[in-house]
Amino acid sequence: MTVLEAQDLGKRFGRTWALRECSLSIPKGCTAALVGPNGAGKTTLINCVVGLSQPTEGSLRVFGDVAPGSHQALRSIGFVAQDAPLYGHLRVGAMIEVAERLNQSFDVSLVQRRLQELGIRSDHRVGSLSGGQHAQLALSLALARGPELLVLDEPLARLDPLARHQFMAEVMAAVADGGLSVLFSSHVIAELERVADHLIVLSHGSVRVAGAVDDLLAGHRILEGPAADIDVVGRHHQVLDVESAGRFARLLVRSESPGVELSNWESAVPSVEELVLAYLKEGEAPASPRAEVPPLQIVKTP
Amino acid sequence: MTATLASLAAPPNIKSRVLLRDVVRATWVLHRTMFVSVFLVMVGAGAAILVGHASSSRTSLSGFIQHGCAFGAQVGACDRYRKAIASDVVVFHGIVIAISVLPILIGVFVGAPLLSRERESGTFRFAWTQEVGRSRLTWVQLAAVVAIVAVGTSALGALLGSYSHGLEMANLDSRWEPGLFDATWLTLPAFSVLAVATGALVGAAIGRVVAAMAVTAAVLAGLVLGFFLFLEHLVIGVGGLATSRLSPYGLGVGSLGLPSADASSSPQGSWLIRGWFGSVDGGAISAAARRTIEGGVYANNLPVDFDPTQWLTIHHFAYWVAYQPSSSFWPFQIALLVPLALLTAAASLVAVHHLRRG
Repeated sequence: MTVLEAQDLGKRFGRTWALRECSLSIPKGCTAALVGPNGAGKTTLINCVVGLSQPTEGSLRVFGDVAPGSHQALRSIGFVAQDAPLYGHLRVGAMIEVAERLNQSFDVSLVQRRLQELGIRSDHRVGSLSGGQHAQLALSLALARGPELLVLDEPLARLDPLARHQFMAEVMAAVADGGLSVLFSSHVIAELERVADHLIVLSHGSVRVAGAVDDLLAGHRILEGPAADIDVVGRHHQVLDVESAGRFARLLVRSESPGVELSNWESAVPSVEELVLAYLKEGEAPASPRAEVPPLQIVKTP
Repeated sequence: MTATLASLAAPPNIKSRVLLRDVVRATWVLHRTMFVSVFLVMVGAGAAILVGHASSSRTSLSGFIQHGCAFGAQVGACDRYRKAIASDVVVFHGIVIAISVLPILIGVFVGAPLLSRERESGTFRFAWTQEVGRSRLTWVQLAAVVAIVAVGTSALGALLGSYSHGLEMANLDSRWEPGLFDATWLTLPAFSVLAVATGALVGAAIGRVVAAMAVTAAVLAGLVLGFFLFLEHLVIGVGGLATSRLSPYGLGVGSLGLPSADASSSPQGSWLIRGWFGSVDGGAISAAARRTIEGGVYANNLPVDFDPTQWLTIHHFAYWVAYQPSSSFWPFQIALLVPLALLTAAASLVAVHHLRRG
């Protein structure tokens, strides 16, 4: 069962394609991180998922065969948009009431309990809350709807490190309570490494790589060895990133055949951050039309 | 068995919807300040009408009408009555002007920000992703605003009609609303609702509050100007023409919008639209001929028993009046309201469709 399935998804604004031929799926119960540079199409993809935008081409389905933006989809997706836009002129209590009234299912006591723990009073104006409190309120309102899928668009962007930690801790606690899938976009790779078990790297409107974090890490290697032998490595692996210093080179490769051992090269499992950065650097090159990785080749040389 | 399995597989209560009363309540909480402001403006305008009406000199107005001063009677008391009600007329016209621009103000300050503020502040990303759905929420918000504006302006229109009735009978008002067929209670809300829909459409399209307000003001001003330019011809088109005695108020459109008191020129109770000098066969006259008429019938030293109609007949001229028979007044109003209603509906539909498209 997938909570999200996109096939050749495209979204065009005027003559510009913000997304093109994106295919990906997110299994139920996972926490998926959507990563990419500014302008990669993360928010566009998320807007399509939550029904704020309609795709120009391709198909997008949630919870099996439900159209985004439909009543069933809206009912089952909690969304915290970038900068967590809420009605600043309202008091927190009124904001909660609005959310409660606009949803058939809404757990007011959950919000009140969480806000009490965070020290946010209901008579505070929403516009007067700190960035962290604001984000926590938006997250509480989304979670109180009891969603099956929680979508967070750059939730950490404006938060200080402590607020980031608290925010993600709340998200993970909600996941741990059971049944919740999460899709969140972020620039903060350190945070996503801690919480994400599924990764989607987006660049120039195309999916560069997508999959379970464990599978992706298992399918990639950091190789360290003589710079003169880079071509040899390239014959066995797809080289995603190369860093060289004199005669020494450090490669991140996609290891399609893990059994191949290369003499003079030391192998290690990359971190999520190294993996993401390699694909983002790769994304600076012209995008491949689909998520599939092209045939073995050196994508970038120093 | 298949149906049973399907129903088991479906999420519970998936058919149930957010209740309308909850959406209305949320709309109230979100737009409480705007609703209260609109209500206070309506109450203020209503109070101004009531105060103006209460403070007017009704005795003098009655005397003015009863002595026929409104239609040229040369009774000595007329000057006294006219002086007594002069300030009432000034106050009345001030109120009429304020009420006349009310629809534009409503469009600019209520209609335009309704959706543009959501887009500008980004709160649409919260509101439109709630279970209620963007279309339903937008329709309820529009309907709530339209309801309060329609009820409020209809009440104001009725008050204004009551206030103006006496002045219209005295031939002292010209606001396209003859007292015999006062329709302000209908036309004022119609224009106000159109203004709200126009503002909402512009706001949805532009997504910036100040820009949406400016464009809405320009569009509504253009609509009003268009009505003033074309409505008269439209009314004349469905009305009738007749030769008349000279209007006591002089040339051209002096008696515009007033009920006819001249049975010889048009059916009693008709709505006089326009008067002008022409040839006896209805043809246009030259500027020189017009100056001749002005010199002949409006000279300063005319004898007391001077008959302008006779003078015109001798000189082969006539005074023409365009009128709308009382029987065609309401059909005309309905014919006018239908395009307004269609425009309003179209503006609302396009606004919501624009939002749905994403």
